[in-house]
Amino acid sequence: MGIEAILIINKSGGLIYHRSFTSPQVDPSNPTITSTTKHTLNSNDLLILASTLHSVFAISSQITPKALQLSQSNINYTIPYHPYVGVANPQTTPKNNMPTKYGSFKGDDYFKEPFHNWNKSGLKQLSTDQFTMYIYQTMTGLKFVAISSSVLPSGTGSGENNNNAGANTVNINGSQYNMGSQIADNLLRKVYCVYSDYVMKDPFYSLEMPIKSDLFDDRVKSLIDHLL
Amino acid sequence: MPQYFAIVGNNDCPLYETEFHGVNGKDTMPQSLKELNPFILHSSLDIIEDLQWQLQPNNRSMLSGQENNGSSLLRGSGPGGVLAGFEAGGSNLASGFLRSTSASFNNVSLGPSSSNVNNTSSSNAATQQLLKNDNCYLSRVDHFYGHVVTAYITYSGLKLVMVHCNVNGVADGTNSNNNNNSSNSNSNTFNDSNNQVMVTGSGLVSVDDAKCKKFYQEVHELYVKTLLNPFYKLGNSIDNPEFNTRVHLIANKHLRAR
Amino acid sequence: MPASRIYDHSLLPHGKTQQEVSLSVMTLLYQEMIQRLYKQSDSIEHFQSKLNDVGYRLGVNVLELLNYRASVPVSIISKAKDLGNTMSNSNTVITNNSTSNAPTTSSNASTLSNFIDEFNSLGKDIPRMKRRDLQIIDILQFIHGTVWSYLFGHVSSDLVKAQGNETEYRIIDNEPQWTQFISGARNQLHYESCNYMLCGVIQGFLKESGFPCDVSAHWQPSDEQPQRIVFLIQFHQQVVAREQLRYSRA
Repeated sequence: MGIEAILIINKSGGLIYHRSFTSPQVDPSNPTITSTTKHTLNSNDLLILASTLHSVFAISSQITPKALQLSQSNINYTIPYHPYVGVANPQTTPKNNMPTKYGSFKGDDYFKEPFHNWNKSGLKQLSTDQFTMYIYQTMTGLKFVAISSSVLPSGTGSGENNNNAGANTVNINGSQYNMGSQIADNLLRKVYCVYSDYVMKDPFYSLEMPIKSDLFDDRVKSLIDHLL
Repeated sequence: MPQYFAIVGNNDCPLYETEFHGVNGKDTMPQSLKELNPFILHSSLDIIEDLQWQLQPNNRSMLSGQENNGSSLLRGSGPGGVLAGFEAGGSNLASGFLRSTSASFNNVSLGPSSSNVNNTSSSNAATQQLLKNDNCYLSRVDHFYGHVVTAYITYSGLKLVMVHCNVNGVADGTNSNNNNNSSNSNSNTFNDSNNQVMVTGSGLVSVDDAKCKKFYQEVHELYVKTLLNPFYKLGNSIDNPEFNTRVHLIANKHLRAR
Repeated sequence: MPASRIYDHSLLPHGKTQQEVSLSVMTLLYQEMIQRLYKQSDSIEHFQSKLNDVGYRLGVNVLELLNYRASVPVSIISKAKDLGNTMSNSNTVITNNSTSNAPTTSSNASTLSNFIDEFNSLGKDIPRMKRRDLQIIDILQFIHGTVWSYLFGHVSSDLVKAQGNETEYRIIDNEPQWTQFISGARNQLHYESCNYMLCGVIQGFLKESGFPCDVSAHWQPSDEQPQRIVFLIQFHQQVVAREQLRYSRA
């Protein structure tokens, strides 16, 4: 899946980081959407988008039906680890052009174990027929948002009729859905790792303020670049 | 014999000083000497500073041997000799220009081993081996009317200096001369005739280099530990009672004959 | 209550062969310290000198400790390691052994404490102390090798002498560990200033061992190493003069 943009929203709903990764050429599967139309969002729009997302996130956690909340106790929120999402795979990449360290993580990957999802009742995923949005929330309320150009296949596997204006019926339990969501969570958790290194350990960064670090930029870029 | 021990910091400010006596009133220091000790110690600091930068500070009697000591004594004895030694680069010669007084002293105290009461002389070769290539422990650097001064330099330039006091009758006789000598302030102006008198007289205090070195190394270790205490401020005097206790324990272990 | 426990500890690292501090903790602490000092300073020079002072004491400690450790023979180090392993198994309180020259009693606890005491004082077992470094190149090699390895787990990237200037030397670190998360490109002066703690370490090390000097940090990025830092060491004239006077024939 191609990641179009990464957003980071702080705990009070302000946009503190935005970066888009769109390539100039038009996606053949979505001829109606060109890269020029995507760039029409200005910074003000982005701020509105971020705060709207934040509100919707809060609302969605409130409107979870009581019955569902009660039955949630036995839901497993552990997200499995997918190896080498966003980093070079040592098996397939030649040794010499591989970075050896990832900040405080000395191994060949940021983490190697399944992790817990803190986002229990909020918005996790937003699907339209033109893009999919994944949200990863941290314990402190920080939200990492990835916008992907790949569109969820409708439950029966007919992924071709993307231009169908009607709402797709999504099979929540479908393996395709789980896979995409899990990979997105793995990726966004790595962005979170990079954030905790290059943003939180920068003495000249003040909390809740926009992130302006070229090192952080570089690391996020390399994560996206390594994504298959 | 009693000892007077001091740690002198980088700017010649004393960090710690103490005296070591024997147990139950043995080996005590006469009051007159107590007052004099800091001056004796202070006068040897210049020598230590010079030795600090020599490649082989313990070289004076090992490589040169007895026959060379005579010449080094000659070179070092007068002010002209001092200058010559300095201009010749000093360090790589057998002994430093200031140390030459103690070289002659070594010659006498270590040399006539057969008849001397000096108990280190029997293990002369072993001592030389011990001191070879060591530039922390400087062994004997100076002497003053039979009182011997030994020194040790830590890696941060801290000087551990000890005056081994000679209390066998010499102290009284020297008292009258003290004022003259301490006012000279420079210990390398040490009078040759005095030197002779001293040596032929009651003899110098003997120092066991091996034990002395151990003592210094252990005190050095204590200092490193003190330094690692975050509440110890660099260059302040060390007033920790525990430090004091331990230094005395170490002194008992190594410096008191049993 | 014992007055001071610090003398009961051995100068050798106990137990585990490698003692490492988490990089996250270290850098978080470092950024907090920088933030605090930065707020307290009125100018960037003031900030640099404050950070330098913090490092200075560390430099002195490292100077004494690492040289002393280097003096300890290997046989004792390995014994102390074994001891450390048994110590961590049996949770023994180290007693303040004030009777170290008393005859050993046969009871188990006291032999153990004597045993520990034995290793807590290393001084008597060192046949020969490591030589003090007297020449510029020797002491710089020690910093470049031993000090860097102790602090960062690798030797520094390079040690060079400035051409045509007797007093200047450079120690280069391609990936400075403490400041690796701080961006150099965004604000060069800030980034360089953040490295002044290590300048202080170098300065403290050299100055206390008799090599007065000034140390400054300079950001010189290359394509592969965007964080590359050069520590410029400028010895005072007296050091070079002494070197020439004393060791020029060596």
